[in-house]
Amino acid sequence: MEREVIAGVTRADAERLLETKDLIAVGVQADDRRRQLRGDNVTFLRVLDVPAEGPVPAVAPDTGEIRILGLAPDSESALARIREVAARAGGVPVSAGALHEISGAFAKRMKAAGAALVAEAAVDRRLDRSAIDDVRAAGLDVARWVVQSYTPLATLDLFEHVRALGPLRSFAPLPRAIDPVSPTTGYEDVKVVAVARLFLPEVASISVDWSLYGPKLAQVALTFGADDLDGVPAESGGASLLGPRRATIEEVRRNIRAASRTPVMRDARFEAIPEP
Amino acid sequence: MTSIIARAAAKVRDGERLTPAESVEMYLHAPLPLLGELADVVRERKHPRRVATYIIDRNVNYTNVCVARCSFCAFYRPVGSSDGYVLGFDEIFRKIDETIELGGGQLLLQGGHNPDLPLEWYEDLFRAVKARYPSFRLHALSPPEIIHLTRMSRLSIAGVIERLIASGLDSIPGGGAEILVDRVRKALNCYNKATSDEWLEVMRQAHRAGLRTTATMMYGTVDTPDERIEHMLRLRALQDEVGGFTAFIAWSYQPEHTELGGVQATGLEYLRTLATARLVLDNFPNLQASWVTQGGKVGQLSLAYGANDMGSVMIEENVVRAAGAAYCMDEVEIVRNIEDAGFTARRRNMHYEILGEPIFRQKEVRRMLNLAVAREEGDGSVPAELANYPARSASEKRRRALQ
Repeated sequence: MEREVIAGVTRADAERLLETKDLIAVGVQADDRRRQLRGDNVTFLRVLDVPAEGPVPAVAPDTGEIRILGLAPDSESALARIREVAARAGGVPVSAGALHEISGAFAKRMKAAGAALVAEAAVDRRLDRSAIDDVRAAGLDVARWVVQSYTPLATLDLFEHVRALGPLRSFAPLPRAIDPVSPTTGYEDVKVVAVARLFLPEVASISVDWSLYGPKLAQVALTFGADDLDGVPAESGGASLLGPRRATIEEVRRNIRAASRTPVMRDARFEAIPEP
Repeated sequence: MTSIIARAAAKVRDGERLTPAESVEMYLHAPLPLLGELADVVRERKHPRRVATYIIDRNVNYTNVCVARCSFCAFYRPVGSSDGYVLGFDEIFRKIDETIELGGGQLLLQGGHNPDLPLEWYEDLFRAVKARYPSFRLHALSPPEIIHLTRMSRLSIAGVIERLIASGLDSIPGGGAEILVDRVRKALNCYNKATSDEWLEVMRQAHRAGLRTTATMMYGTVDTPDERIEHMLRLRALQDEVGGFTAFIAWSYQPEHTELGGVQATGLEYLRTLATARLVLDNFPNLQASWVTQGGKVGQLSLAYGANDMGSVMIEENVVRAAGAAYCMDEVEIVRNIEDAGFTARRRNMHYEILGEPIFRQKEVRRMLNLAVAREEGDGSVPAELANYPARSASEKRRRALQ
C-alpha cells in the first residue's frame, strides 16, 4: 500500500517550535504526526559493540547488529577485523566505519570482507550524495544517520541537509557528542526530536540512542515523535556519562509499553526479529 | 476521554477540588499531555510570574546504622556492621563550611535509627551547630527518626519536637513517608519504623509547634496507583487541618542493591505522578522536581508537568546513590536548566522565601561536578564525642570495652 504523503512543517514553523516553551503543545503535534506516519509500533535494536582490536565477544541471542567501533591502524587491519567478526556473527549484520571515511572502492572491499552496513553517517559532516551512492552501489547500507555535535543555531540547516539526502529509513537527531559539563537539556532534546518528526516526514523513523540518552529520556522521547530505540546493549549492564544503564530487553519492552506503544525488536536492516 | 476525565479537567480549570474517584481516574486514564497541561495551569495559578526556585543546601546523613531494616533501602547498615558510621561533630562542621562556601545556608540532616545516638546527641549537635553558625538552618530528622527518638527517650512526639526546637531544629524534612498506606508499609518492612498515622502525627505536632515541613512520596515498590492517590489524599487532609507543608516531593523507588530488588518506575510514570500530584494536592504551594532520581533531563521536563521548584543543589547525597542513582547538578547546571525551560531562576530557603539571584552570578563559586559522600571509602573512624553518651547496642558496648 502506498504511504500517504504528508508534508513537513515549514522552516518558519519549525523555528517557532524550537523556540517555544510550550513543550506539551510541541509534543502533541509531533506525537500526532508520528501516529499518522508510523502507527503505534516502536522498534528497538540490540547492538553488540566490538572494539577495533582484541577478542570478539560472544554474540547474544536477539542481537540485531554487531558494530565495530573505532579505527583500526590501517585499512588492511580494518578489513581483517571485519572478516574476523563476520566469521563469528552467525548471520547477524556486521557494521563498521563512518560514511565520511569510506570511499566507494573501500566500501566494496568492506562488503567482500563480510560487512553488511556502514556503522554510521553523521549528517553534520556535510555528506554529499555521491558518497552515499558509492556506498550503496557497493552493496552496503547505512546503519544509522546521526548528528555528531549539538549546534542549536544549525539544527534546521542540518535537517534541511537530511531532507536533501532523500528518503532515509531512520534518523537520530540528538547529538552523539555530549559535553559532560554542560549537556543538552531535556527541553532541548525532546523539542529537537519533535521538530525532526514534524520537519522530516520523508524520514521513516526518528531514532533515539537508548544507551547514550538513558531509558528515561528515551522513553519520554517516544511521546515526542520518536519511534525507534537504537543502541540497546546486547548485553545487560554498562554505564555512561549520564548515569547507570540497566538495559535489559525486559526493561526496554516495559518502557515502550508504558508509553502505550508496541515493542518490535529489529535488526540493523529494520527487519523485525521474531519474538522467541 | 471519559466523562469523568472531562469533568475533572473542567473542575481543575475552574479551581475546584478533585474527588478521590476523580483523582484515581485522572491518574490512571487521563492522557499525559492533558495532565501536563492542567498541571501547568495550576502551577501558573500558584506561581504566576514563571519563577522556578531551588535551594542550595547539603544532604548529610549523620549515620547509616539503622535498626529499621526497610527492604527498599540500600543505604542502611545493621548495628555492629563494619561499614557502619557516625559522623563526628567536627566532620559535620566541615561540611557546613563547604556548604556556606558554595552559597548554601542549610543542612538537610537525616540518618539511620541508631540505638547508640540518644536524644541528647542530637540536642548537643544542634546546639553546637547554632553556636558556631547562628543563622545556618537545620532541616532535620524525618518523622520516623522523631518516632525513633520518642521510643528511645520515652517522651511524647510533641515532647521530642519541643526539645529539638529548643536546641536549634528549624524545620522537618518529609522523608520516610514512602506510601502512607499501612498495607504497603508492612510489605516494605517499614511499618514498625513509623505507621502511616505516626508519620502524619509527627507532622501534625510539628506544624502545631510552628515548624514548616515538606512531604514526600516514594512510589513504585509494591504500591498500587490507588494507594498513591490515597497517600496524596491523606497529605491533602492534613494540610487542610494544619497547613504546615511547604512542598511535596515525589520520587520513584531506586532498586539497585536493595533487599526488595525489582525495577524502577519509568520516566513517563514519574511525569504522570508529578502532574497528578499537582492536581490532587491543591493546597500544597510547591512541587519539587526530583532530578536526583530522574536525572537532569527529566528533572527539567518536570517544570512542564507541574513542578515549580528544582529542589536542592544538594552538594552531597548518599541514600539514593546507594540504590543506583548517581546524577549531579550544581547551581550553574540547575539554573541553566530552569532558564532553558523559560523560567526565571531564583534561590530560596526552606520556607520558599526568595533569597535572590543565583550565587554564581554574584561571586566566583567553584563548579561541583560530582556529589560529595558522607565519608571517604575506608574511613572507619569513630568520633570521640560518642563516648559522652551511653552505649545501648551490644556491639557498641563491646567496642568500647575493647578500647
